[in-house]
Amino acid sequence: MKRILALVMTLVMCLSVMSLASAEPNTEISGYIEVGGWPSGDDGFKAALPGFNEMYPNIEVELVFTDTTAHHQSLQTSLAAGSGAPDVAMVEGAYIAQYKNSLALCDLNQFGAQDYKDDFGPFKWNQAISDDGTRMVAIPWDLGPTLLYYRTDVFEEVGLPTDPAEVTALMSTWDGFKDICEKVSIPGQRWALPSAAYPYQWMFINRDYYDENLNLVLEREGDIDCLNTCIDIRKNGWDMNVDMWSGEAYAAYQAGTCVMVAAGSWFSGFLKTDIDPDGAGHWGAVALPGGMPATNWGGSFLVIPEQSQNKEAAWAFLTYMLCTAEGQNAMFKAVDYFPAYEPAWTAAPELYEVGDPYFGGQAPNKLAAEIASKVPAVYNTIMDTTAEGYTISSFNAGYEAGETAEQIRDRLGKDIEVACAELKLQQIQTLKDAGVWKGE
Amino acid sequence: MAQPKKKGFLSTLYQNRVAYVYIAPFYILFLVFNLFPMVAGFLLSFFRWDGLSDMHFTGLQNYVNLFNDPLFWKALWNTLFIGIIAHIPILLGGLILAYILNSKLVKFNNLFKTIYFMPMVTSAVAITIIFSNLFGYNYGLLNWFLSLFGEAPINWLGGDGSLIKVAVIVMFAWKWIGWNMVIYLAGMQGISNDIYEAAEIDGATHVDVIFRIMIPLLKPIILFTLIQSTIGMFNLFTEPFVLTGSSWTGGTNNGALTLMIYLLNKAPQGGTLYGYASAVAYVITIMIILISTLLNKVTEEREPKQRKAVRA
Repeated sequence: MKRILALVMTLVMCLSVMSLASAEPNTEISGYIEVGGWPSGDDGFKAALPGFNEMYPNIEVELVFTDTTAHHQSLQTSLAAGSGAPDVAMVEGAYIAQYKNSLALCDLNQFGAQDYKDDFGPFKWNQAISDDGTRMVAIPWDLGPTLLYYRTDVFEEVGLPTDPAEVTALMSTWDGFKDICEKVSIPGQRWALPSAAYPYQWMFINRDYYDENLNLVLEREGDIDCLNTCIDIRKNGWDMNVDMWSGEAYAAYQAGTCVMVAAGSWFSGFLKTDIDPDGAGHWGAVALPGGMPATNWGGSFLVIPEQSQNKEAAWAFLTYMLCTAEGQNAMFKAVDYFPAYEPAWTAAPELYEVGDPYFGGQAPNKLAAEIASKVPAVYNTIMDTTAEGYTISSFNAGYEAGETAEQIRDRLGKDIEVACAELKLQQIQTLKDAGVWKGE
Repeated sequence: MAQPKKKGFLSTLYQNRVAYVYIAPFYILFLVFNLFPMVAGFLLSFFRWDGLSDMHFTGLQNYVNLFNDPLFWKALWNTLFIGIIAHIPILLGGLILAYILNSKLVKFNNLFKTIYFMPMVTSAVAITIIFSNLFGYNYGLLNWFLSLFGEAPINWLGGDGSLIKVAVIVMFAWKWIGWNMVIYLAGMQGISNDIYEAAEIDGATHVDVIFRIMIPLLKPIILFTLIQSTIGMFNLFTEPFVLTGSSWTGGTNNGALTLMIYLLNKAPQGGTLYGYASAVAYVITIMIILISTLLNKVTEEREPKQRKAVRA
């Protein structure tokens, strides 16, 4: 009995010493919350949880993680059913347009979400606001500033500069980009890109295919030049003509036979851990070529379902993870999710400014931050992901049919309109329900 | 003692309560997991609903839009094309393999049975890796083989989208041949040896035995595999989906867009058009029922005609 008492006393003492050590722990908010999402979000949370537990010692957090598709399906079902959803849930950027008008998600404005407005760029922030502008259902977690990754060893081999600044200058026009493609390619053995159609997809990588009146907006500044470049690249056999996520493409990135690939900055993590773990020193990253504007590729959000029994604790968790530099940077360090919370970029210079040995001493995160700060607000709809699926396949179909750049653009327009017809009707209905539809 | 002529429903229920308790597990599960979704899905097909916001009744709109969607017709055409072509090797090959294994000409019967059945139990991920390596454009085994003869590589999975059907058919047939073989083999072993012996004594040739004894006696089994194959054809999803790199467009020019990819792309995996997807599901179900009934009818009527033709 005495022993147990002694043990309890020691524990109590330990706890009190621990609580003294931390800044100002909030002991008022307490309870249990469940957090749901997909890997590697859980590794990110695990890395930031010690800090959170110090701040909120009475909140108990459980992580319930599954794969991306299964997570969104079960979230959707439990929101419709009214029970079973976690207290805090991840939502992927491609899905946010489905959720932004949903009344099944908490309006975060009631907790003062707008206090953080200036800490986030307009691109992600606006994606989480309902169409009538009154509700905010999600807080952005991470960004995917679009970068072009290139093999410095191949560039060196063919006598091209490898320094990012010089490469950027060379690629600033489409002719310059084509020169590089020609130099690095060896017919049938080494290719510049996974598919010649990707530069055209990069034009729309903000996933802003439709405007607010739901008109398809494919005509962009420089789009025909870009498409002509794509056609030239395919004609000359400078691309592998495969999907960038295919096994063939992955093998080629690793072997140095596919020399360039563009993606969100999260691709750095893919390269380091999955595609080319032994590739330190032969990768570089620059902004998109051909004078393309700064864009964002993907990135996720956190939401709090209306059915949560402990919204206060959920909000405490959400704000610690996403709206503090400690939370965001702990997760960034662990899983390469580039913080949407901008103060985090300056709070830990070692994560952003210092050169990364994997990238030969270059600091791609610094470049990513520069690009991220230039991405404008855009309008997203539930049609965007379906539309994106057609950029590559319509280009391929048009190219095979021997079409011109203008004809390929028209073909893409038709393909998207057919495939998105039903989604568009649903989107109109959602806008009508929100009272903001200006059409018939 | 006069028995009451009619008992009330409830009193019958009460009288047989023990029996009902015994069969209850099936009916409860059936009600919850089969009947309820069937009815709910049917009702849902008259609504526009994204699963999150309000439901809107639209009458037959979903069905009208579906029949006006060129992609639906393309998907139907692709499904029928791939399904019918693939089932020639699947059913014929299965039948021939089963006949060979049943004929006692082959040693190590069980070994071959296992080999042919392997594709059915192999993980989809492993199959995907093998087949994308086989049909790869730049590093594919088939294209390497072609290059030995000085041929240019063929973009099986890309190009203009017409060759991807070949890849899907090969993968689909490879997977299902063994399954049908096992069913036919079981059917053949169910045919009594007496019949074969009697035929031999009467001087029947091998061909006679196959076409006038085995196939007529296997008819119910063949019908069963045909109906199974019809359902399998409409459910064709994994093979085209993985070969197109998980593309909801079904590859270039929608070359491998099947009805099941079309359906799942509407909800719940690609989009959230639950009402529309329910309408698609009901249309597919009706097509399966129609074709199965037709198959039943056709095989019933053809029987006497075939016999005449053989005699002539």
